[in-house]
Amino acid sequence: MVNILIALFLPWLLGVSWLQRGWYKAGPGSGAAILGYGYFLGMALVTLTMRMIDVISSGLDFKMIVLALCLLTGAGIGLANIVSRRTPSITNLQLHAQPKWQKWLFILFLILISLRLVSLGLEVIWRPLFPWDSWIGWGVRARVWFEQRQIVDFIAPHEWWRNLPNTAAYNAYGIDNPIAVSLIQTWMSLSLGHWNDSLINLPWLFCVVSLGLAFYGQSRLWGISPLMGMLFVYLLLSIPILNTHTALAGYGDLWMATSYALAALAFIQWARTKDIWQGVVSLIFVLILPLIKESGIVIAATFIPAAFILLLSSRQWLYLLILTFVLISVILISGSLDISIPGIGRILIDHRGIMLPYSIRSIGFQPITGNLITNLFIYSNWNVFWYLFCFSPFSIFILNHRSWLSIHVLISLGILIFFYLFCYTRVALSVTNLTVLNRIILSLVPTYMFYVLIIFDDLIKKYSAEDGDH
Amino acid sequence: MKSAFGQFIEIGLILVASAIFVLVSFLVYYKTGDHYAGDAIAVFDHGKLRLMAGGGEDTADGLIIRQLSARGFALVSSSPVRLPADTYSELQWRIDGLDEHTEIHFVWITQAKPEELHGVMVIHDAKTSGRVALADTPGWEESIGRVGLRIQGSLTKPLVLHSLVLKAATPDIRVLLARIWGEWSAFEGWSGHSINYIVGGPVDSLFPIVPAVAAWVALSCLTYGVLIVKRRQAWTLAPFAVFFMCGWLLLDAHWQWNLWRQLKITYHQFAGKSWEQKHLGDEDGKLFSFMQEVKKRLPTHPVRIFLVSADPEASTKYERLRAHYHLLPHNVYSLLSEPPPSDKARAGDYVLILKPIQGIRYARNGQEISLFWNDKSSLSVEAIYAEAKGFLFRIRDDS
Repeated sequence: MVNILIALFLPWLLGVSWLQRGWYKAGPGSGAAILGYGYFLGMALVTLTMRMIDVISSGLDFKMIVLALCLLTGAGIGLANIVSRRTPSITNLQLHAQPKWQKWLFILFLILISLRLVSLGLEVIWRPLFPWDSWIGWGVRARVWFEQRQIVDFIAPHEWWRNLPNTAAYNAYGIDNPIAVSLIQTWMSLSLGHWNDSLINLPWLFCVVSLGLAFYGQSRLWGISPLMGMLFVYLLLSIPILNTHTALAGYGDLWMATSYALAALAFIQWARTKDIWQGVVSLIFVLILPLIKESGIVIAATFIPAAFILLLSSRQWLYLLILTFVLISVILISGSLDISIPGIGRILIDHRGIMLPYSIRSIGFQPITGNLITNLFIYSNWNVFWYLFCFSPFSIFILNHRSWLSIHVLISLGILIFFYLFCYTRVALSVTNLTVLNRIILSLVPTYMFYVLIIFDDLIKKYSAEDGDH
Repeated sequence: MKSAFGQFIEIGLILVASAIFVLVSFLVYYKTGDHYAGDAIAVFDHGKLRLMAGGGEDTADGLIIRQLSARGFALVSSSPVRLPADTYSELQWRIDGLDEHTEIHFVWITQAKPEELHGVMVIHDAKTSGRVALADTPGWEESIGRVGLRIQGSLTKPLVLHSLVLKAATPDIRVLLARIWGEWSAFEGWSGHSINYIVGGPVDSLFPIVPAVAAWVALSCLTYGVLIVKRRQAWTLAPFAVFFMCGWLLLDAHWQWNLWRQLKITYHQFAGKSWEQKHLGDEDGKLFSFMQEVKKRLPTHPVRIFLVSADPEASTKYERLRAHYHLLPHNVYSLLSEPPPSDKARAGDYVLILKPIQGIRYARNGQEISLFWNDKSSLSVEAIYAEAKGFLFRIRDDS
């Protein structure tokens, strides 16, 4: 029991220790932000520590990992005592200062969220590993690493067969995915001391809690009222497909969605306030993305143009445009562009189309509109979120100063990337049988929920101010 | 400026009125035209019906029946079909030349009992078209294999059979309302697709709940917007937020209801059990039990296991992947439909064959056992364990 509590809460303490001073007394919401971001960062550090321990000591020992984490936590606390800062606070809106009816509504939404989390938590605790990929891929690695007390190699089944008779590696599906998610399950198994494919999924519940906390914290730091912040946390945490990925734990999509959201929310804050701490946090969580899933590097790349808008001066923009023009000219003259980026993959542009890392090549337009509409607007996956989101593009004409521009670019790029993947690459083939559509979209939705929230908030404040002027 | 209470009442009335409007629109839509039948229409016309008994010919206008057979009837039949009787509950016919002397029966056979001919009399009153309700007709059940007409009596003039159309009969309003309730209260338990998508009701819903609620919210917002414009009031966000939240909360209550029903099942299936008991009580419990027995007979350190099943890429894919998972941390390769060739395996590796499977034999020569397949391949093995679900062998040194 003690070990399970250590496995669940030590990462939290670790993450909080490293993040606390950046948001120390930043104002309402900073506590929730620290807790939310802290858990996720802590779990990421746990997986990195496990990899380091495995290399140094040729094995995974729970006590040694815990010791390393405690040292890291101590370092975080120590650093926080040396480097102390205050983040400027946008607002002083406090819950206790709100009208009574708002407090009651706040409590109501908190109760609804709690009821939902209890339902999902019981599913996690009772049900063994259930969804397909979790027991043919993610969970296979976790089980073997736990039983072997070592991060042994995994290769694809056909490669395993080709290497026979002499191969010490294991084989499983989905081994192109990074190992962090499997290591999370391994970590839980090490704490339990035995394999239990229900309890290894408790971090999924904690992941969604951290998402809610981070979302609330960032909304309050943006200056949004407690009720509005809690309302949108409720909207987010009540989305059916998000709930399903919590209850039927074992996939990496929930972690991907949370990491992207945490990165994007911090980026959005940095875009508006130029708070360097939010920029640093955003960068950290962008760097975590490729650790979670194969597609993480592609999603991480969507931050680059948005960041350029904020970072580049007008002259630098001109140089960038010239460079882009030169690059396009080279491609048109030479007929192709073939670049291999170490650790990322190959980018090829030729007359056949574009190929991104992981062999994502354009295969011509694939008609997936019917499936897209069905899943976004007719099935119960997203409640009525996408109906609400349809109004957000109109905000571009109203909220268009520079900081908002980078936010619109970040959101738009996410949509463009997924439009490209869904309509022009082999991903479209799995859209037809509905295996990945909603899971890929899940990566974006928490961020888009925050986007809708801040649009509404800024529009309300903008028109309230104009009414006040009149 | 309305009081808060007045505004509350107004919002409530708008919500109720919009809900009624959306519901009535749904009912009108399905009561008119062929919207209820939708794609469920089977048309038998020119070229799809043949005269099996009697005299006549097939023309572009329809099947002409000029005379009855010597046995006193004419028989028209479709080619073989596969039609679920519970989907096609109404027959629409178009026949010219009927009079009071002609007796028509709509006839059919089912796929389950093709030797049994069923029929129902068509009351035509000498008209040229009509309908026949089939839903409660004896024999109209399961999967229909062929349909047709039996004509008897006397033919004073040739009959022209233009078409027989089978479709879903548009039900009355009570049935439609019951169907909505059935769809919206349907339970969607965890399944293989849940991690990829949640339908929220039957896949072929007439009135999916999400667009229904979206229409309700949109209509409420539109109604309130029109009222504001007419009254020249200032726009405020709060009423629109209320409309939206009513929609969201309704859908969320629906989802939470589903989650509770699922939680009850999960509780009965898994709560309070150990990890092993959970798997024994799961849908692949028997396979898990077999794998546990296999693992008892394997070394404690991980070994290589070649798992063989009849159709590893299709019909036995689930079974062999589950077996692979249950055998961990042994090093399993499960993409085989026959044992590994001797150049791929080493002494000390294991072969686990899941039954049923064909084409693999084993022959015993004293203490030695050999597996044979493909008429030319063989592997020298040692029998370790056998039961109804499969065999476990260890590859010998002299393979």
